Amino acid sequence: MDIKLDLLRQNRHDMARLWKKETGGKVVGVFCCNVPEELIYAAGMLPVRLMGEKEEASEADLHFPSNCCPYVKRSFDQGLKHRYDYLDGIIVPNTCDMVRAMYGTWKMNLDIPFAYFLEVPQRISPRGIEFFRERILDFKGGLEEWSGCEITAKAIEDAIETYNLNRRLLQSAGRFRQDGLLSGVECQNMVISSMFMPKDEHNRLMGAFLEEAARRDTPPLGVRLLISASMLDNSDFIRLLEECGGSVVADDMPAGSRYFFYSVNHSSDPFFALAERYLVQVPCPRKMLPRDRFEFIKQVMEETGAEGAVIHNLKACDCHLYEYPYLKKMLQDLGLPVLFFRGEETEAEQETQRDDIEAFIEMIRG
Amino acid sequence: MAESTSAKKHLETTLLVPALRRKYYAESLSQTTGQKICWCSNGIPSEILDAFGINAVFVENYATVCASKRLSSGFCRAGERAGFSQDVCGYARILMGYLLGGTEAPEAPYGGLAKADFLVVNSYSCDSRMGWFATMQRTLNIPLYVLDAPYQPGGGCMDEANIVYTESQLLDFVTFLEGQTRSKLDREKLRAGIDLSRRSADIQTEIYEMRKAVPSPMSAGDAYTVVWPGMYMAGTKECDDFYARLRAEVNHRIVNKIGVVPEEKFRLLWSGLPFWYNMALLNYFEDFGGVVAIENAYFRSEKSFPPQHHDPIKDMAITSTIKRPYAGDLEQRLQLTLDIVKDYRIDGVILAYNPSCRLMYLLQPELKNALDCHGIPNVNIECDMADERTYSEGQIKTRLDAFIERMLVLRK
Ligand code: SF4
Ligand code: SF4
Repeated sequence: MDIKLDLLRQNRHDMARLWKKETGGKVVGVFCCNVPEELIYAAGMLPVRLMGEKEEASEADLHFPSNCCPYVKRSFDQGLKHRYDYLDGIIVPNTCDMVRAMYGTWKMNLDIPFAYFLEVPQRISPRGIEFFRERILDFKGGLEEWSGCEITAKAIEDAIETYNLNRRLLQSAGRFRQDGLLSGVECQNMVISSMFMPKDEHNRLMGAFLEEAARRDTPPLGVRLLISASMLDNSDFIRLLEECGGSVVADDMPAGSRYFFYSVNHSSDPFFALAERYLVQVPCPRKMLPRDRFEFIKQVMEETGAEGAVIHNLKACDCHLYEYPYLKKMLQDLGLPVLFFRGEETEAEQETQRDDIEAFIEMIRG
Repeated sequence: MAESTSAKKHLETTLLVPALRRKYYAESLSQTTGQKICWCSNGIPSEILDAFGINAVFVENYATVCASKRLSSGFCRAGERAGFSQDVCGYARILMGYLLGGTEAPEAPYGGLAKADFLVVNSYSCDSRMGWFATMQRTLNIPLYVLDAPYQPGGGCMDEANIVYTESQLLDFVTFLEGQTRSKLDREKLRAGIDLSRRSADIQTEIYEMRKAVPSPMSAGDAYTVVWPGMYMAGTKECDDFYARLRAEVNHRIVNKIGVVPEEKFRLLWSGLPFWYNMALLNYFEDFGGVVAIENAYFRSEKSFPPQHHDPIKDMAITSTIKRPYAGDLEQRLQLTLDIVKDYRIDGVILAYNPSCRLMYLLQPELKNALDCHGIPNVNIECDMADERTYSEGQIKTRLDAFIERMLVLRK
């Protein structure tokens, strides 16, 4: 099953093309965890999280300097290499410097019919939620104008329900991971595949997958690890941790629990509910005063009984790199040993990381 | 302390800045009136702080002071030892070194910074500021206010929701300051401060316009110094007087055809932030008849908007929502620089790749592509604006020499 999940990521472009052919719908690329994808889904479109490949970013290198976020650069590289030619639109939220730069860069260099910049307040306040609600409404209007179709209240309600179900299923996967019924790699692959598949289809896949996993014998867990990362858009690093004797039982990552941890509340005002979920609840370092964020990590850590923490920050990711000294101290104060990597997520780099991880896990085993 | 490598100043008025700067730091250190001290980031409307009688200390500037006094290596090292990656802004590493470096940090210039009562950062410039102010908050355990505003990649569009949100955040800011100072905002004082700072800003715009003259009356070496009062003393009469005097001097030089170099052979644009620890590099071209006639950081080409509302906060909300070209998206920022090249009759561009300043750095390769496309000679030099350890004199001068040679051939 794991292999199949891996293949889904590998075949994501073909799958999106096929979906487009079969449905005649539009495919929309999305950055970050701050875009209420429900509205895209409700418009009958397919939202796909933009991702990169671990190959030379030979095209993007001509447009971006060397010291910048490799995740975003590689995603753009895929665009320049025509692998995202099926995209009809992209949504760029106001999150970090690098993602913001994508708005102009994609518009300038790629033929994208629809590029929408979604304002996301950086400060959480009652007015900020209200403002974000208004921006979400504007986003809905933008999608409607572009597609020429109304997004009905019923479609939004259904989309929220489908997305919430997906979140619940991913949360179950998270619990399975904690109990050893699923590996960290499998869990990560589920989150990643959810980011580019139609949610109803993913829900069906997950349902079957979890049913099968529930019948598994619980294998002995390795050293229980919490991983905190800026962006891991594939499961290779988690695989490495698990190959070295770790079991990733908890995470604090955008392509992880940040994607599914909180559901959208049932409300008579779905736009307010979406604003609240995406702005207030998603524990992202870009827009939260760190203390609240650390409370979230502390809670996850305690619930899962993690024995060690691994922090993986992509280079030049200011949001996470500034946080690192404090996060490390906080985790250590809670009695958790911490291993830190800052890098680019290349194959070569992984080999150099292996020794450090093995030593770290040995040290915890004592 | 290592010796300073400051730019050669060509204008008399520029020479007034160091004294203003010293006075600014000395006053905040010596004040005994119970005035509150706020450490803030560039871009915070200091007129509001002034209206409350708050002493604003702009910490980015302190980082440039440390760099220009050739102390960046020691401070950055101390910041990195405290856990901050070399990837993060050089200014931030200097300040983290200053705050957390203990005895390992160099001796602080001007006797250090006055102790802060609270912190204020704006959210709309770069991620770095948010990160380092959050760190300062945890370290100093004092209140932090995040002044938020929409990013507006289109550069501003008078969108009603944006205006309402901007105003709400300014009002929250006022409430925060009222709590910190236990006083009420004096709106008349704020109105007067805003009007004065717009006047000074307009004089600055006029000076930028005047710098189109050939020969160039003022080089980037002077320009990077004279932005100081406008950034850190906005809304004061002293600032206004400073720019009036500068304008008169620039005008005098234009009328009398006094250029930066006796015989101007080529004109350059400096794109990005300068290397504060070696500002003399800006004069390097002068021996060859070249002048860095203009720079795109801090550039302004448009006059302030006339007041949009009698209420100063609402007025600020509307005007700041109309246009902020340098915070705009890539296309706008590229166009701005291409316009500068044309308007200032630029022969070549120096692209300073400052790897730890995402805001400027991310623009440069795309700018290089655009310049190449238009056949405008350019050279890139990759050096941090503040971390001196990234600077290699030999390598940079070799690149610049080849570039100068190209300029001279083209000008023949
Ligand atoms: S990893 Fe960091 S720099 Fe990259 S997109 Fe995420 S927040 Fe931005
Ligand atoms: S990253 Fe750039 S814009 Fe941000 S504080 Fe540093 S120098 Fe200034």
